[in-house]
Amino acid sequence: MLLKTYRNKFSLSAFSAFFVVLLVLTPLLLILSNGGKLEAERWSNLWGTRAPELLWQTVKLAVAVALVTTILGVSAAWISTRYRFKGSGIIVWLLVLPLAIPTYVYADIYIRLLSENGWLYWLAQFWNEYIINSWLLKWVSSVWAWLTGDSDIVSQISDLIATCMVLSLAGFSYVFLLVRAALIKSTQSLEEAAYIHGATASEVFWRVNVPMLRPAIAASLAIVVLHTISDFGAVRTLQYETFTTEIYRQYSRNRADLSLPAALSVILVVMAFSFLVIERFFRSRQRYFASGKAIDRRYLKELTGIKLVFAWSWIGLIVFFSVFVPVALIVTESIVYWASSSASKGVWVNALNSFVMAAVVATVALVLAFPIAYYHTRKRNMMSGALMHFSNVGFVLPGPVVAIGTSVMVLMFFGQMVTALFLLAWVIAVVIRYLPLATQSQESALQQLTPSTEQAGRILGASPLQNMKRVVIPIIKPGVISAWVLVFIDALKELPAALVLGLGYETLPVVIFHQANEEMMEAAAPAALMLLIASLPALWLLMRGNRNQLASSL
Amino acid sequence: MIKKRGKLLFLLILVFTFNAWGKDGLVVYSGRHEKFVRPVMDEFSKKTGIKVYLLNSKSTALINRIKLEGKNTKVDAFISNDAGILQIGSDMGLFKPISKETLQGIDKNYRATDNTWVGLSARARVLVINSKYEKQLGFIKSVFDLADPRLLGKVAITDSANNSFIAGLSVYQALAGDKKTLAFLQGLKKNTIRKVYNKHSKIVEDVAKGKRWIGLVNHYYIYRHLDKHPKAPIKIILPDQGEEGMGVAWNISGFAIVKYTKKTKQVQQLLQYLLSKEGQEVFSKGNREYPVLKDAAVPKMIPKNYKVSKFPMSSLGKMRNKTLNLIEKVGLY
Repeated sequence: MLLKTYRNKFSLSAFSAFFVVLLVLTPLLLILSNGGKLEAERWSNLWGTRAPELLWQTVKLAVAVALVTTILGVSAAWISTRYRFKGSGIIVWLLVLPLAIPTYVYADIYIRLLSENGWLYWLAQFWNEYIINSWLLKWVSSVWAWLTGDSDIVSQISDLIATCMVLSLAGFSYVFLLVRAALIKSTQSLEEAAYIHGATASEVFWRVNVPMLRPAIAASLAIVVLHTISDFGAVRTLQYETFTTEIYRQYSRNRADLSLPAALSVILVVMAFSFLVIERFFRSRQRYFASGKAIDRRYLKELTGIKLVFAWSWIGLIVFFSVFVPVALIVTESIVYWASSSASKGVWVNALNSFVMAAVVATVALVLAFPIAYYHTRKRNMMSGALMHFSNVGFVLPGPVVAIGTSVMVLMFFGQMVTALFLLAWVIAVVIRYLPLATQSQESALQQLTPSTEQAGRILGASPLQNMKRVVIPIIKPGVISAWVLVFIDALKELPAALVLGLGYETLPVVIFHQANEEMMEAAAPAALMLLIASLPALWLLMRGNRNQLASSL
Repeated sequence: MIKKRGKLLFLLILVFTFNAWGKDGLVVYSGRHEKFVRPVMDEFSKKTGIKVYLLNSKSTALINRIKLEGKNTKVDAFISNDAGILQIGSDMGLFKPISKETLQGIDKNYRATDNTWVGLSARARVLVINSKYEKQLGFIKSVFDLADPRLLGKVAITDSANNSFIAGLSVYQALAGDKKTLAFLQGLKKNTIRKVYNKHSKIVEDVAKGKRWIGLVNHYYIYRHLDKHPKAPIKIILPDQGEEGMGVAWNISGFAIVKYTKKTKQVQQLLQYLLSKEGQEVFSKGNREYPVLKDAAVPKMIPKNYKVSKFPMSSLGKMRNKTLNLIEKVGLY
C-alpha cells in the first residue's frame, strides 16, 4: 500500500514535469518546424561565412567571462567568509548589488565613461597609449599577422576584454553568492583533519577546499556562462558579435521564413547543452546531504595592518567598478534629470509594469519548476536528468527566439492574437527563459531534504500531501524563496521578449534600451535607478535567506 | 498563498494594460526614432487636442505585430523609416488608401502606386570622410569604391539588418546589377574587418576620430554630429555624380493608415497636418531630412541640387528580398 502511493506520487510529479518540459520545448520545436528546412546550400553558405567565426567569438567570450567571474567571485567570497575585519559585514551587501543592474546599463555607462568627456577617459588613454603601443602587444600582433594574415588582433583583444569586463562586473555576484554559501556551509573539521595529517596550507586549499567548492563553482559558472551566451543588450551595445546578435540580426531582417535564425539557434542550443552536460558531469559526482548539524563556530582570522589594507583594496577595487561607478552615475544623472525637465511620471508606471510582470513570472516559474526539480532529486535516472536538461532550453535560447516561438505557440492554440494573449505569450516567454534558475535552485534546495526525513514523515502516518505540506515545504522554503528572488531579479531586467511581445506595455528595460539607443542616457538613468530600487527588496529577501544558510542551497 | 497572489497580480496586469491607452487618442506604431517624431506629434496635439500615443520599435517588428493583431489591433497608423517595409505592409493588405486631396503636392515617387502609404520626409545615402585623409580618399567617386582594397580596415558601415543600409543596397543592385553588387559586398566585407556599427551616429563619431576613414551613412547624421562638435574634421561626399553616375540613393520615412482603424477622421487629420507646409517644416527641421512637399523649405546646411538615382521608392519593397539574398550569400554582419 505504502509502496503503491509512493509510486503514484512519483508518477504525478513525473507527469507534471513532462507537461512543463513540453510547454518549454514547444516554442523551439515550432520555430524549427515553422521555419521549414534550411536548404543545404544556405547551410553550407552559413558554415562557409559566419558560423565558425561566431562560434569562436562566443566561446572565447564565455571562457573569458567564466575566468574573470571566478577570480572575482571566489576571491571576494573567500575574503568575506574566512576573515574578520573592519567593515566585513557590509561586503556581502555591496557585492550583490550588481545583480540589480542589467548588463546593457553597464555597457552604456562604461562606453560613456571611457569616451572623451567621461570620468574614466584616462583609463582609455592609458590603454591606447601604453598597453596597445607596448612592444609586447606589437610583437604579438606582428607574429599573429605573420601566422594567420590577420592584422587586427589588437583591436579584437580590446573588444574581447571590454565585453568580458562588462559582463563579468555584471555577473560575478552569482559566483560570489554560491561560493560564499558553500564556504559558510563547509565544516572546518575537514580542514583541521588535513592539517593534523601534515598537509600544508596550499595542499589544504587545493585538496580540501577546491573539491568542496567545485560544485558551487560549477553551478554558478553554469549560470554565468549561460547568461553570457544568451546576453543580448550588452553585446549589442558594445558591438561584439555573438550567436545571439547574429540571430537577432537575422530576425530583424524580417524575412518571411525563420529558417536561418532557427538554424543558428540549433547550433547555439547544441553548444550550450554540451556545456551543461559537462557541468552536470562535474556536479553529479558530488552529492551532499547535509550531515546533521554542521559545526557553525568557525575560527575567523582577524585581519590587521597591511593585510587589512590588501583585503580592502581588492574588495574596494571590485566594488568601485561594479557598484560605486554605475550607481553614482545613475543617481547623479537621475537627480539632474528630475531637477531639469518636467520629469515624467511615466517612470512610475513603467516601474509598476516591471514589478508586476516580474512577480508574476517568478511565481509561475516557481510553480512550474517544482515538479521537475522534485522528480529529478528523487529519481535521478536518465529520464529525470533528461527532463532537467530540457527544461534549461529557454536559458540558452536567445530572448528573441523564445519570444517569437512563444507567440507562434499561443497563436496556434487560440487562433488569434489579442492584447491579453500577447501578455500571456510574454509571461510564458520570460518564464521559459528563466525557468532553469528556478529548477536549479529548487533542486539544490530539495537535496537538503534527505530521503530519510521524508520517509520518517510517511512512517509516522502522514499522507503524501500532508507530508508535502508539513515536511517538504517547510524544509525547502528558504531555497524556494531564493529561487523566486533570482527569477524575479532576472525577469525585472528582461529585455528582448519585452521588446518583441511587450505591446506598448513598457517596462523599465525597454525604456532604458530605447532612451540609450537614442543617446539620451540621461533620460534612461531614472529608469535604471527604478530598476535598482525595485530589486532591493528582493535582494534583501535573498540575503536574509542566505544568512539563515538555507539559501546556500542555491 | 503564493499562487493566489500570483493570480491576483495577473489580473492586475490585464487591468493595467487595458487602461494603458485611453480611448481618446490615436495609437501610432512608429519605427522612426522617437525624438524625431515626438515634436511634430506634440505640435499636432496642441493644435487639435487629439492625443497621440507612440509605440516605438523596429519597423519590421511593428509591421509583423500589426499583421498578427489583425482586426483586434488598437493601432491607427504606422510610421516607418523605410519605403520597403511600407510596401511590404501594403502588399499584406494592412493599409487603407489615402485620399487624393491629402496627397496634393506630393511627388508620385514619394508614395505607393495605390496610395496606401506616403512619404513624410526623404533622406540620402552619402559618404562621410575624415578630412585629414581627403587626399588618400581622392579616388572615391562612387559607393562601389568602398570595396577598394586600399581601404582595408578603413570603412565603416552599419549592421546589415539596418533598413537604410538594405534599401541603399537595393537601389545599387537594381541599377548596377547583381554581379557588380555581389563583388562590391565581398570587398566591403573585407574592408570592414568584421566590425560593423549598430548606429549611424557611431560611424560618424569614429570617422571624426579618425578610427575609420570613411563611412556610408544617411546624410543627417553628419549634421547632427556637427551640431554637437562644430569643429569635427568630417566632410560629406555625394557619390555617383556626373553623366555616368547612377546618382545618390534616396529613401523615405513614411506614413500609412492601418486598415482596421476606427478613427479614420482623426487619422486623416493627423496625416493632413503632417503633410501641411507647417507640419512638413517642423518634421524635416527636427531630423534634417528633405520635406516631401514641394513648397516646404529644405532645412539649412543639407546639400541641394545634386543627382538623385532614378529608382522609384515603391519598388524598394520588391527588391528587398533579392538584396537580403545577396547579403546572406556574402555573410555580411
